[in-house]
Amino acid sequence: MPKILGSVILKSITATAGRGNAASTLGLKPNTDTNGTLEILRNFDSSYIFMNAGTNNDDYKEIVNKDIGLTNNTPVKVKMERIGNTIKTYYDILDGNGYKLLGQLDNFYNGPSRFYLLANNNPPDFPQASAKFDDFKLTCAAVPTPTGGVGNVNLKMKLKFQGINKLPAAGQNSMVAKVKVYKEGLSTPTDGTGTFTADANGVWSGTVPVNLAAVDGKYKILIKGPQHIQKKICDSAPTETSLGIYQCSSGNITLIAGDNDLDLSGIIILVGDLDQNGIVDSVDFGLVKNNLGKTDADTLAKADLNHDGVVDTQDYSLILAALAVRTDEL
Amino acid sequence: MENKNKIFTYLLVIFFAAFVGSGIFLLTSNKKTTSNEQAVSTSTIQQKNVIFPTPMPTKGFINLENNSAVNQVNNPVDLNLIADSNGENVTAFDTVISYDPVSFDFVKADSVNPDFKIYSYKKNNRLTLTVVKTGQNNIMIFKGEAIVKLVFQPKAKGNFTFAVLSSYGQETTKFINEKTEAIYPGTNEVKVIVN
Repeated sequence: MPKILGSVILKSITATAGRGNAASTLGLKPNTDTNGTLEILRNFDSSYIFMNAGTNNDDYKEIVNKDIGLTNNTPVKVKMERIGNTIKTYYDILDGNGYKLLGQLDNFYNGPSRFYLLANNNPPDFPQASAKFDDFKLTCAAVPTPTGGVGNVNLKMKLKFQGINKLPAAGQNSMVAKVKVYKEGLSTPTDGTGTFTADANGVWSGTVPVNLAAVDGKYKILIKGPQHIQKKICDSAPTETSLGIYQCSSGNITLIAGDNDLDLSGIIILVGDLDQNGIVDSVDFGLVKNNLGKTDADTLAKADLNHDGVVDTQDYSLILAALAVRTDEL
Repeated sequence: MENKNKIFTYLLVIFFAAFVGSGIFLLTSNKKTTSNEQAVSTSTIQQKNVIFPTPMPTKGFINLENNSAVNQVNNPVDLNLIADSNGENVTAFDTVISYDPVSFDFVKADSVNPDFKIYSYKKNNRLTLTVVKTGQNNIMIFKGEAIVKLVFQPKAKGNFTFAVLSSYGQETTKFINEKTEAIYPGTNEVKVIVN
C-alpha cells in the first residue's frame, strides 16, 4: 500500500481585477518516516506543475517540471506518493479517468525528506485565482497560509537566456523565472515568479506579478532562471556589448502600479546554476557531462541548457563557461 | 496487632501518594504531548527553512599534504591535494581550502592529471577549487595519489594552518561521480611553518 504524503484540490474559483502574486502554502505534517512538506507557492491556472523532493541537506531532486496543458479554471488534484526510495507524482483533472502519472523519481534518498509542489500561473490571460485545499486530512495536517494577494505591479518582461537564439524544441518552451524587486534604499526584496515562453528569436516573454508596499522611488530587479545564475538589473532597457559584461549597483528602474513593460533582452542571463544553490560547481558540471547525448524529458529539464532537445557539446561548452562566472549576482 | 495496623496505614499512605504522583505525572506528560502536536500542525510551514542535522557519512578523502615542514618567507610553499574517491569514478570535484590570506598569496593550482581542468575562486580566507574532467579518459578513480599541486607565496613568518573544509556556506568539498551523485570525503589540515 503506497504511503500517501498528501493530496490537494487546486481550483481557480473567482475572477477578480488584475492578476497576480497570490501565494498559498500548504504544510504537510510528516509521516513517521519523513519530514516532508508539500508546498503550493502560487495561485495558478494549473497548467504548469513543478514538484521536487529534497533530503534534509537541501539536496533537491526534481520529480517533474512540466506543462500539463490545462486550461484556465480547470480543477486538478495532485498527489505525491513515496514507496521506499521511489517517489511518484500524479495529477487528476477530475474527468473520471482518475490519476495520471506525472513524474517518477527512482533511487531517491531513503531518509527523512521534504517535498515541494509548485503550480504556476501561465500569464498573461487568466483571471486571478484562489486555491481550495481538500483531501488533506487522511495522513497529514494541512495549514493553508495565504500570503501576498493580488499583485499591484505586473512586470511584463522580455528576457534573453544564454545559448537560446531560436524557438526551443517541443516541450522546452516554458521556463519559470524567479524575481526579486528591491526598492532603492531598502534591503528586503519583494519576490515574484513568472512563466516565460520564447519566440522564434529566443526572446522569452512573461509577466511577473509582485506586491509592492508603495509604488514609488527607483528599483533594481534580480532575475534567476531555472538553470541560471542570478542577474542583477538596474535599468529598464539595459544593453551590453559583450556577453555578461552588464553590471550595476544602484536601481534606476521606475515602476508604476499595473503593467510595466521591461525589455531586458538587451542583456543575457547566464546559464549554469542547474541545481539552483547559488553557485556553479561540480554538481552543475556533472549534470551536463554525465548526460551528454540524452534526450529524455527529465534529463532535458535539468541539463539541456540551450533548450534544443538534446544534451550536447553546446551545453557542455555553456557549463564550462559558467564555471568562470561561478556565483549569483546579489 | 497495633504494629501491623500501623504498617498497613503507612503502606496505604505510600500507595496513595504514589498513585496521586503517577496521576500528576501522566497528566503533565499528556499536556506536553498535546501541546507538541499542536505545535506541529501550526509550524510545518516553517519546516522548509529548517536545516535538519543529518550526519554526513564520508567516503574516501581529499587531504592536504605539506611537502616541506619548514619554509622561507620568500620561497613559494608547495602543497599537494591527495585524494581517494572510495572506488567512485569521478567526473568532477570541489575542494574548499581555508588559509591565511594576510600571510600568504595564492599563486596557482595545477592539475596533476591533464584530463582535469581547474577553476579556482578566492574569497576572504578561502580558496575553492572546482575541478572538472574535460579529457576523454572514461574511468577516473582516485586511490590516494596527488591530484592537484598548490603553490602559495608566504608573506610573513609564523606557524600557519591550511585546512580542507568539508563545507563553508553553500560550498562543499565533494566528489561527483558518473551518476552525478555527491560523495563527501574526509578532510584534514596541515601546519606550515615559515621562518
